[in-house]
Amino acid sequence: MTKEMKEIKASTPIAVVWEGILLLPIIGIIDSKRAQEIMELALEEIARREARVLILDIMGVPTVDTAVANHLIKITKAAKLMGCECIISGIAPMVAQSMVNLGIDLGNIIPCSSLREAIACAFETIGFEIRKISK
Amino acid sequence: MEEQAAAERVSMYVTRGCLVVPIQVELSDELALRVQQDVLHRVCRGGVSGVVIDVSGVMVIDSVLARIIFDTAKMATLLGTRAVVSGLGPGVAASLTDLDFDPEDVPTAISLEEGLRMLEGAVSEEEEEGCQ
Repeated sequence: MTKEMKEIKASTPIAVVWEGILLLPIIGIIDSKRAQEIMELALEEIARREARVLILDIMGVPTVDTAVANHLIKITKAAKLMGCECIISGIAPMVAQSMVNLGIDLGNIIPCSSLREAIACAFETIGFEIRKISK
Repeated sequence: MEEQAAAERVSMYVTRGCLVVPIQVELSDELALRVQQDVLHRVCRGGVSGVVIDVSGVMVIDSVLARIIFDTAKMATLLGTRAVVSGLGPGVAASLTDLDFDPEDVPTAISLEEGLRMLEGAVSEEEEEGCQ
């Protein structure tokens, strides 16, 4: 692993929320190079952990242009090929605006308004439900 | 050369009603087409309610090969089974996405085990329906 890869890995932590659920928070500006590296990391992690759901949290991404959106779609398509569903959460109003204005089709990505909803959705996908226990 | 190609075959086996096709060799287009034929003939013979095509042993899959593999799954679905493609690695998935490959609703699984688990639900559902 090169020094650059290590830096990317440090800036892009992939958390295991539950067995089969990975959370990938993306923070900061994404350019094509970083998106490519994020994709590599995410796919390797999916294979290693045998994940069934990947949550991409893009709350920390200030702007999304066509190239970046395409990269996000690419990550989800590749994950789908590996049998892993993708959920995108934390799309900021500005990002939603620019995505629609740019005519970006998110395809089969499941969008969720918040991380909380995304996690609930992910649990549902792997056959769990979150409920209050009565005391 | 042709004889050698003819001798080359991918073995497959049936476990609990699922046909498992573990591909552990680098595929040529011809071999992939032969696997396709073998799978469909085996499904036709009956006793199979699910098919898992496991490609975890294949390091290189181009768009033509991928099309053959995913088409095989679709064809098996037409023959009344559930079909899953399993074991696509990160590299293969990334390159197929770069090639704009479309899996067209064929379900995929991360591993053979996961693929069998996905089919297990379908098989037991069918059995339940049969009981009612």
